[in-house]
Parts: sequence; structure tokens; C-alpha cells
Amino acid sequence: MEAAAEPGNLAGIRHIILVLSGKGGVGKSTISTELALALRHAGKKVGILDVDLCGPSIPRMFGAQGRAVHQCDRGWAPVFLDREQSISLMSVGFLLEKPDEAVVWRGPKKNALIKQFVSDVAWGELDYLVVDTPPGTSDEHMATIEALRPYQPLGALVVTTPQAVSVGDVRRELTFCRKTGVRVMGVVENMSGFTCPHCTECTSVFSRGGGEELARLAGVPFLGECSKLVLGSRPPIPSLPWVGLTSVPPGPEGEEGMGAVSLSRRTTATCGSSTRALLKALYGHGWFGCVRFWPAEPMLGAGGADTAPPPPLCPAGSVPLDPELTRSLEEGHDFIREFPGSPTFAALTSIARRILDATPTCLP
Amino acid sequence: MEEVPHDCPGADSAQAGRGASCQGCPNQRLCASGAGATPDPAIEEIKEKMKTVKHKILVLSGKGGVGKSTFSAHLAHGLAEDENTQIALLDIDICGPSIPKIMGLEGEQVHQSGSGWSPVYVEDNLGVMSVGFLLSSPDDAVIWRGPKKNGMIKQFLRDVDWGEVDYLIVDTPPGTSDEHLSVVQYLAAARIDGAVIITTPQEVSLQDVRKEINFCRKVKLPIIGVVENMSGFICPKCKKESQIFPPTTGGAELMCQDLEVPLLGRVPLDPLIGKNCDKGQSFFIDAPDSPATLTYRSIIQRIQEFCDLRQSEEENLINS
Repeated sequence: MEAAAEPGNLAGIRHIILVLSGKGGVGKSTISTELALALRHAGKKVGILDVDLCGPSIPRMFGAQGRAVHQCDRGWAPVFLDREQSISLMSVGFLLEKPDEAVVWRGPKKNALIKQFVSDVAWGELDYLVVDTPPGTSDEHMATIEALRPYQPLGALVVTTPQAVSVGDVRRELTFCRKTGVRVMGVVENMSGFTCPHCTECTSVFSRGGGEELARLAGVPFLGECSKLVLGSRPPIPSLPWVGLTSVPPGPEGEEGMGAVSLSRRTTATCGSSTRALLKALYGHGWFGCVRFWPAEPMLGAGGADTAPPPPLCPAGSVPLDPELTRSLEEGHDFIREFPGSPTFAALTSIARRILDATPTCLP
Repeated sequence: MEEVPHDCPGADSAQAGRGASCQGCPNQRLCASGAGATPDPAIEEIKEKMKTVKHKILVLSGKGGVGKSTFSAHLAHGLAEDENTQIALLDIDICGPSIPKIMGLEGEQVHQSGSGWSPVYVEDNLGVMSVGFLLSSPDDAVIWRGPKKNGMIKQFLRDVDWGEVDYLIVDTPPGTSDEHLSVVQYLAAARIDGAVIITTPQEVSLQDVRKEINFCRKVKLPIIGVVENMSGFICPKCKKESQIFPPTTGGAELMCQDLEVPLLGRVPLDPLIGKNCDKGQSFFIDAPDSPATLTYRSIIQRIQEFCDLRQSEEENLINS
């Protein structure tokens, strides 16, 4: 029976979110990165812990390859991305002398390193720690959850693609979460569809239906696919009827964030009763779980009055395939900052918004 | 904290558990007790069993989700089109066994006979084994640590009654860990023809695949070549090509040049591939004229040529 880890280094973290998937290559690291960036844009201090020892992708996604890790008096100092220390990272990728060198370790050695990652990194005060995991349900996952258990992880975001083959693996991950007592906050369906930049036809490259199926298995509502519901500031597919929600955070000059709804015929309705009626009607058709406008609009729910209490957590979202997103991650750019008008931005920030709403504000 | 990863002398070496780099390793006590010194008897048993298997091919990738299982399944389908060839497909992804679904064998169970476990047959000449067949529900999670996974792999190699097989294809999980070390160790005496490594054009994939190539070199596993999957997408409506996963650092082509490994082919993204995998059918039947099918077939041919060449080189060596 090992001694409990020092409470010190994790005591300053308010919420811990695991990003899981039974399946490889669905976009866990992508979602972890974009979630962290979106939470940072919402003014939060975020840390990312990359426990994928064989394939550590996080350093590259932040353009931080080759950065060195230093020791401080409380343990290891995480790698900070900026002077304000709004995002900090830790990954085995920083510890490899040669980036092409394979980490060929068996379980017990991986477990030992993960324990140290969890207890010896001096995170300081963080609003969120996002833990990016490798695929599977094995040593790394068990070691991570055991090491984090004293700190009551907030929960897990489970990522899938629309394919049934992905759902087949990820439903086992849901069982893993149930057995290890990790609460599933939401299901993210990544690679929902690809809109051809030449003709704007949206193709389901990786089949359809996976996110919805998984949300059903997890017992959480699912919001919609990219082809039906498009979030964004302008219609990417002009011929399709759509509802656009502009959730723009306050701008650099401090102008207030807008909340507006535009319809395909380019009529614009501001946040008034007609908008709410429209959204309620759409909800009735299963288009929305919940919607929130920035910065201060009340939550809207199905069928209720404007003063209805916020609906229960509706933790899901669809993220489309977006080569610009892929490129940003390859080159370590901040996609959230650079592409605020894209449907992908809106999908990612709406997922971040749900996480923010799910996490109670801590009083100082 | 110990540096990452220093040279382990090897569990079976004289220095096991005693070397300077052993300090702090969780396995130190085990190694020092000499437990690793005696070779696992299963290795000889597996060598015997593998005498009826002509060619063994591993399908690897450092990265997840690049299409290893998809490729393994279609390599099996492609080779099995010749009715005189006997094909075996072994899925050693213990946590995420996708092969049963892709081969249309979900819900099938494994039977024991006097000569061992019987594989599940898709065709008369195509048998499949996966941990998926041992699970009673699609929701069952296999939450096993390394040693238990290794035990399962040992059983798959030693206890499955494959019979006379021309090609054994081994589909692996992503990474470079227990499963990969085990399969290489257990098959060490039985000679693996080589590994096919799958990637996508992205640097995020390539950086993991370079590690996998180094792993293969470290354990002296011959590399048949690299397959670049999801290499370009042809819009079904306007037929124009887009790069969904842009090769920002030159793609597999440049990596193969740098590391001097053959590039076997570049398979484009065809939405029908995913759909057929979900339905458990061979994509070749649904889309025989797709550019993806044609590329797959040329890759399969190159793999066969590699195996035949290896075989004739070995025979020449024995006869000389």
C-alpha cells in the first residue's frame, strides 16, 4: 500500500478534466489542446498533463517542442507558454533527449513515471488541469486515476469519431469510467464531416451516427451533427437552412460580446423574445440541448420560461474536420485566436462553455 | 527523478537488476532475483507451433487511428482472394479489439478443441482470432495491466490451432509497449518476415511513426515499408482533391527518404472505406474501381513480393 501523494502540488488546482477515448486517433490531444486554449480565452489558468508516454503529441501542438524542464524547490516546473503563465504544460515529450527515440517501456515503469508526473509537478494555482491520455484502458489510465483519486477529478470528456468502429472501442471506455468512478461529463464527436472547400458539399468521411450512439449509451443528450446544426458567424453552406449563433467573446478593445441569431435568409434577430421562441421551437426538433450567449444572457432550455432554471448538463458537441485546425496544431498556433469565424471555433468554444458552466465557481 | 529512458541491460542479462541504470526501476528486485534469466519456455513452444505458418507480418504504427486494423483486414481479404492461400488474422489489440467488427464477426465466440482454440473463419481460407471473441458483451472493458496482456498474447500465439497457414497477419494496438515487445519476443525464434508501418500525412502521426521505425530497428525487426493512409480526399460531388490532413512536413514520402525505408503506397480517403468497415464488409467488393482499392492492391502485391524474396534468400542460404 503506497503512501498517499503529497497534497501540495495538486492542492491549488480547482478542477481536473480527463480527456479519454478507448480508440486511438480520434482527436484526444486535439480536443485537449483546443479546450485549454478556449478556457484560456475565457480568462482561466489552465494546465495540461500529457500522460501518453509512447506518443506525446502535446508539446508540438503548442509549438513547445524542445523546451527544457527545470527543477524548482517544489518539484518540476511545468513549461509555461507565456509570461502570464496562463497555460502550463507537462509531457514526457519534454524529457526525451531525441524526439525520435521510442519510449519502449512495460507497464510498471510507465506507472512509476505517471505517479511522479501527478505528484511532482509544481502546477501552482490553476483553474483547470486537462489530462490528455493515450488510447486504451490499461496501465497509464489506471495509474493516472489512482494517482488523481485523492483530488477528486471533475470528470471525463470522452472523444469519438462518427464511425461504428470507434464507438465499438469507446463504449468500453464508458464501462471503464463507470468501474473506476469517473463521471462522464460529455461526449465529443470529432471529425463529424468535411465541407469541401471547392463546392461546399459536406461529406461524412468517417461515417455518421457515432456521437449520437455513444451519447445514448452514456445516458447523456447529444446536440447534433455538423451537417444539421452549424454554429458560426456566417453560413458556410449558403443553400442550406441553418441557424447561426454568434458567440463572440469580448473583443480586444473591450467591446461587449454579441449574441445574435441569423437565419438563412439573412434576417437578423437580436436576443429578444422572437429569438427565444425560435430556439425553443428548434429544441423541440432535437436540435439543441442548451444554448448560452455571452456574456450574460440567461440559459435557455426546452419549453421553459425565460426565467427557467438552467437545464441539466447537456454535454456534447460535434467538431467538424478542418484542415486549418490540423495545420494550426502541426505548427503550434492558437487556432482559437486565429479562426474565430469558423464553425470549428464555435464548436470548440461551445464545448469549453459547457465545461465552464458545469464547474461551480469557487469563492475566494 | 530518473532520466528517460536509460539503457536497460535487459531482463535476461547478467547485469539485470544490478546495473547503474537499474536503480529506481520498479522491476529491479524482480530482475536481480534472476527471474528474467531463464528464457520463457513458451518461446520454444511458439516456435514449434509457427512451423506451419509460412509468412508472418506485423502491422504497426506508433500512432492511433491511422488505419492499422483497416489495413490488416484488407490485407487479409486481398490475400485470401486466392482460394489456394490460407490466411490467418490475429488481433493483439487487447483494449480496443476492432478486427471482429471490421471482419463482420461481431458476437462470434471461440471454441476449444483437442488441438487448441479454433479461430473464427470468415471464409474457408481466412481465419481470425481476437480478444473481442472472448468478451461476452460489446460494453465489456478489458482493464488489464501489462503482464496480463502479455499472457493473453502468449496464449494467442501458442494455443490457437491455426493449421497450415501461408500468411499470418498480426494487427497491433498503437504505441511501443507491452504488446509490441511481447509479440516480438514470443515470435523471436519463429522469424517474422517484417513489419508494415501505417501513418497519415500529418506531422503529429509521423513523429510517432519515426519512433516506431526506431523501435523496429532496435529489436531487429525488418521493415517491409510504410503505408501513408488518408492521403488526400476526392470530393464525391465535384471530384476535386483536398488535403484533410495536410502534410505540413513533407508527409510520409519525405520521412521515408530521410529514414531510408520504402514507401509502399499512399491510400486516399474514401468515405466508403469507413462505411464498409462499420458494416464488416470488404471495401474491395463495394468499390472495386476506387483509387483506394487500386492502391491497396498494389501495396499487397509489394508485400507478397517482399515475403517471396525473403523466402528465396533463406532457401539459398540453407542450400549454399
